[in-house]
Amino acid sequence: MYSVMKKTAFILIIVLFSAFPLFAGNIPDVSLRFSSQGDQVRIVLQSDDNSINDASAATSTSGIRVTFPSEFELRKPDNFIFGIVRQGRSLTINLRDVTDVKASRLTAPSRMVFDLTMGRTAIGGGVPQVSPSGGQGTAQQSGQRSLGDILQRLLQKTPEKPPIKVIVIDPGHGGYDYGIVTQESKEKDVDLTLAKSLGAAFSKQGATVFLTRRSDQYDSIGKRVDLANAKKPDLFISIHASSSTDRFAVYVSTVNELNVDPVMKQYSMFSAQNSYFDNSRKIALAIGESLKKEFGNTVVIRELPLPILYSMDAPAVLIEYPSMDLFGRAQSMQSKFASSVAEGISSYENQ
Amino acid sequence: MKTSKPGSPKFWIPVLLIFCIAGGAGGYFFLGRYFRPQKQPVTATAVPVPTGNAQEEDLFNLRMFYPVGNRLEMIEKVLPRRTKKSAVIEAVIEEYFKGPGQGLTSCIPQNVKLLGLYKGADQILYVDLSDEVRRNFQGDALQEYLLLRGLYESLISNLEDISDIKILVDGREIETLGGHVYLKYTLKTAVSYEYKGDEEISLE
Repeated sequence: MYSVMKKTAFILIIVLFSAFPLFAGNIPDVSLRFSSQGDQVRIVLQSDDNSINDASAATSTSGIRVTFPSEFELRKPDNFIFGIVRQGRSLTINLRDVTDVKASRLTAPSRMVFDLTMGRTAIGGGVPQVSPSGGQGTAQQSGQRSLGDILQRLLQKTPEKPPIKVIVIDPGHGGYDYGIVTQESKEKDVDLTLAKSLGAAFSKQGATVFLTRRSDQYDSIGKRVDLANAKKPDLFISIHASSSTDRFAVYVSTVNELNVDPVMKQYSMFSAQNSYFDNSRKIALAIGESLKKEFGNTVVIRELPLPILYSMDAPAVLIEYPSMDLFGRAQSMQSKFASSVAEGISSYENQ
Repeated sequence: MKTSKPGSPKFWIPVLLIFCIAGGAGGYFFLGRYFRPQKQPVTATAVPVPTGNAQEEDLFNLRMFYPVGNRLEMIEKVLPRRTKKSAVIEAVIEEYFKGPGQGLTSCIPQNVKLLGLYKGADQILYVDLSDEVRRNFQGDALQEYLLLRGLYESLISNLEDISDIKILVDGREIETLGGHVYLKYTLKTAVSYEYKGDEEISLE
């Protein structure tokens, strides 16, 4: 009896110990490195397990999206020059001033390599060659810093995009369309107040600002689009309330995803936004980052085929602010919102 | 005080118990980590409902897609069998505007009545709803989108020969329900895009 128990205990101990490495298995690590030579920037994603082999990637000159088979830990250098958005299994690298992206895979260890060709404003007088990033050496880190700093400086000195001179702001809803209603406030009123604050902030920066409505009146979406497009704006911003109490959302339109009948395409309410998608997305990210810095709230980017966006013949975003009652009554919040969005646009212009 | 020696059976019983508990906890941790359900914003997830003795009572199942939070949730509902197609459509719409139940909160507007159903020669189903659908809707752009997509998915999933759906309110075409989504188009055009979820900005 005793010897059987002893054997059983021994087997159990062996089984348990052999199982520990399984359940102690960590979320896979993915390391990101980058280096530069001339107008070329190379970004490398590397992992010791199959995360890279099983990952899928989508690239464009405005971003790289990599979807991994499971959640992952990202290790990246502090001075990485592009913005990164992580969402579940996805990693998005938001590119700026990139004219070409080539993706390839290497093995032993498995790596995903993205070779970027930078635009003229990014390379300016030429980016000095630096050693690959992600290492531990002091000299390498110093080199990385200089790359990031120089890129930032060059980008600020020679803006590629024309300055944003004409801005149309669209306060959501109006008239009999109240939007979200609480005991304290109506969305249409708060939207208008915030739109006016934002208009004042842009005017201070020297932009010409138009509002699609300046009073409590209803205008159809079609009429707003026509009004806005008639002003030939450099930027269109629609202001709405979110039903969330703590989350800002910045919407951009989708591209070419509307399953529209050919007859429908004859109407003006269709797809004017397609050629501005990249810039709209960059603006959304710049505004989102600025709101995040200013308020500290969660800020998300959403892609939806909203007509007020996909029909705009200019870069266009729709901003939803949280806590409508608070934004409705607190003038300090209104000013903070306006200055934060204006700051985001300035940062986009300086990229 | 009497203590168990390492060689005796009394010593091994607590040791075995400790290892069993440790193994169980470890296994739970492992299974929880590796078999945790992934967030799928608009992917339908079936919520089982008791089907009972459907054949004996002549019941049928409806696959309903409700906006819950930032996604659509598929919920099966069991109802007494309808034989007429129009009765099935009515059942889908009535069930949809009753909301998901099961303690789930949704942005579906209250007290919406179905005023009429018409089917065109082009197989487009015209759904005429009372004005409460517009007046009682309290939501943002994403919720409006999901509300309309949920209605579209619910109807298309339960009916075979419908190519598209057009929403009317009080017998008239409307431009928008909540000021965000364009309803002069049919629903297939307005809500065909599959929302892929939010991208959260981090200042890493």
